[in-house]
Amino acid sequence: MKRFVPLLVLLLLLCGCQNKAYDTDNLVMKATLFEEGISVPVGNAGPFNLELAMQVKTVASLLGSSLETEYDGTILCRTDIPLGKRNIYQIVSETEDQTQPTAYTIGYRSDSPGTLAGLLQSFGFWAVDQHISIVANNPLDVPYTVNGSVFVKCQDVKKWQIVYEKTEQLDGFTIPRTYGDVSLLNLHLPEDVHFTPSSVGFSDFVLNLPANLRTQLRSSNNQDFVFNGKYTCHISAGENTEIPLGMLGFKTVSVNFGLPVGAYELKEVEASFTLESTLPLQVTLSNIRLMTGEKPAIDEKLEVSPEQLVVLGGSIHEPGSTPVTLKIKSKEGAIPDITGLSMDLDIVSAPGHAKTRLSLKQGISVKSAKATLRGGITLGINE
Amino acid sequence: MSKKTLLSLAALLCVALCLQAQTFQEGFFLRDYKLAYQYNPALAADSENFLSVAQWRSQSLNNVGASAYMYPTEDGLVLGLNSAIPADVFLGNLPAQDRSRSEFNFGLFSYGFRTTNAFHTLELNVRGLYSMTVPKELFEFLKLGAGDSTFKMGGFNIGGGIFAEAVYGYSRRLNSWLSLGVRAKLLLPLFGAQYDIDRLDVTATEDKVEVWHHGDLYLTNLTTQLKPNEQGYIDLLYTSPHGKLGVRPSGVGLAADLGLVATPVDGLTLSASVQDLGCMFWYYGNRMTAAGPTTFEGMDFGSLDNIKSGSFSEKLTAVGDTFLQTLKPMPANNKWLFFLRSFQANLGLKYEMPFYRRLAVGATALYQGCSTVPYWETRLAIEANPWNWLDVTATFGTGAFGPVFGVAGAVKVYKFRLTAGLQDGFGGTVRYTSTPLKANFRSFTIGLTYDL
Repeated sequence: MKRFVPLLVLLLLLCGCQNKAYDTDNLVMKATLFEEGISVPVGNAGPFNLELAMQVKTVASLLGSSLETEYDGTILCRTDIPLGKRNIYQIVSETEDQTQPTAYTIGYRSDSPGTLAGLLQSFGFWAVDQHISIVANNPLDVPYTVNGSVFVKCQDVKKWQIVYEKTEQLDGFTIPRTYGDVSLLNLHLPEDVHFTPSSVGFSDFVLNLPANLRTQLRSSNNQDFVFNGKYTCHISAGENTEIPLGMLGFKTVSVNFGLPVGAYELKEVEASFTLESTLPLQVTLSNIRLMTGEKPAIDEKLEVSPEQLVVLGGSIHEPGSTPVTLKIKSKEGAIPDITGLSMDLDIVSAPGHAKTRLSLKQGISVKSAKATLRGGITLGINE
Repeated sequence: MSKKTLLSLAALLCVALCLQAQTFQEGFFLRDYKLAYQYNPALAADSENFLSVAQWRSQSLNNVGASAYMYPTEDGLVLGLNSAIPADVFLGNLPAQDRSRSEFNFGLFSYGFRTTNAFHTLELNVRGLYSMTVPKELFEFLKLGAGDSTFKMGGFNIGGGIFAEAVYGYSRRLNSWLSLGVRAKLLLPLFGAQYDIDRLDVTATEDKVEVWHHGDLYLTNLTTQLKPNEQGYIDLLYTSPHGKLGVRPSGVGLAADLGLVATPVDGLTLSASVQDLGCMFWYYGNRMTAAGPTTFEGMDFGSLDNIKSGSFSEKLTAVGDTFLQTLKPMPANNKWLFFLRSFQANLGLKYEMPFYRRLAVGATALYQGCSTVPYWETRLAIEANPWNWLDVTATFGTGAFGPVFGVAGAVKVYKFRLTAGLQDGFGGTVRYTSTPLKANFRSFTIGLTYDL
């Protein structure tokens, strides 16, 4: 019997032979799928439109202007032109004989309403559809007349030359008894005038007021003669638009976002898509770099190619189309979580799209984006 | 659905759900082992009355082991899908189909009694089975991807069932050296579930991702019909509260064991038997189909604000939901399915040493056919019965998956006999588990008999 014991022991050992190398406590629960690559459609994004431009509203308000959006998305630049007001009691106090009609001289008043548009103009944009109006009110219970002239002057700021000038005489112009404003000037500047008004106002302006002015006052709540103007224009790309982003501190743009791809241990991603632009501007993106880290910083280990993209401009009816193939590759290890994108921007006018008005409906869309992932996607199986 | 498709499906189901015979070959060598008639009914011809309760027998087969899916590396144990494992290594270790099956047999009781010329056995068993088939293509797709072409997969199968087995056995000597035995079995399916995916095509290109899926889910249930929800799908979690899908008769089956035992010379026993020749009809009162293509051609991410706010994650989730939608089952016609029983053919030889009759040597061979995992093996055996109260046997041989061994023993105390046996393959197991590292055949038996 004893001779069978070693055999039995051997068999029992074999039966229970557990391989230490296969200890599931040490099992790395990661799987890398599709090592030879997989391509998937991604889709479309955007349009990323000019809403950003509307964020310069604050700048506009500092310049006494406002940016508004019209029903069709067109951006309208609006500026009030304050040309002064006179209180009726001030006029009375300055009149020697109140029982006689009075010729009250205001003289010369002007304002420069196109400051914002002018600023844009200095970048090469054009002011188009320019419209200027000047109005007067009548606080009296009777009509009065004015003498003098209203004028508009546009200047090429680079050449210091007056390129447009318009003067209208107002001799004996009657301001009737009315509760509303009365137009002294309603002027649409010619289409070929892209320079903004450097000076709008009136000269030799005289108010011909009736006798016993105080008794003619219609209401004690309205005692002022007010003269105002309004300037509006649209902005279009010019023929030589070039936004000095560097001078404005916007040359290098950083966009922060979260793209948590680190967990997938991607080696190389190739994205192909078409950039469709309805902006009348040609945008050049250069030095494109990806940022990583909690405090996004450019990651030198990540290669992006090509480093420069020229996005062709266009219009809503004829979008510019730019096919792009973008490769992202890690020089060392896998691609970590991407937390931002940094690039240099150059914006110039798109050839053939001068006079196209800027609109909030214009923008850049990503069309038919596709992605090819090479080297596999790693997944944590127990996650 | 075309007739061809139906026939293909039926054939697939027949292969997948063939019921596995079970074996305990060592029982052939153990002396006075009352339940040896389950191996060959003719072995009971000379048996004495007995009663056995609560016999447990389990068996598992897998044609690929865990070592094909897990690899020790310097960084620890990694999966075959880990990038550290080259594709040709991982995929080279996988067979065309990963097939596995397990079965248990719980013998509620076995009663054997002698009449004048014959020995009779009555027994009632509860048997359960599970099988799974996964095609290699799935891992090829996961490891490498589909390239620009459509990756076609099919032949996924997972299923299981429980059925009752009532058996009557009859054995008698035909003459002084030849015995005959037969067992007739009435099979009563109680619960079965089956999910087959015969089509899973994946196309992943730059222009679209398309998944074409077709799967059938079968659940036995004679009376209760699962109702679809408003969308036309059957929500198994919602529509099957406790009790609705209970265990109840769901079909019928018949099977038989046949055996011959010859003792041409003193000390030599020759055995030939066939187990589980028969078939079963399963009634699947609830049959559901999940089918259809799902295509993804990209999505609209919207504005930069949307991207920054992460709302595109919700869109991605919606895409995932769309793909999952095709997995939701819709009701289909109920169906009877016919399954052949997996049969097992056995040959055995035992010779008691003339110089020491308490020592015997022998050999066995078996073949399991019509099975999810076809299997064969041959073994040499040695048996010793040094004392009346102890009997041990060991076997060693080779089979479809490589070398095999078995050990068994019986201890007799008064009229009680406790018998246990294990058959296994070599190659080791995953640490702290019984999961074999190589393709393997394993069987375990334990039972108690009482001599009446």
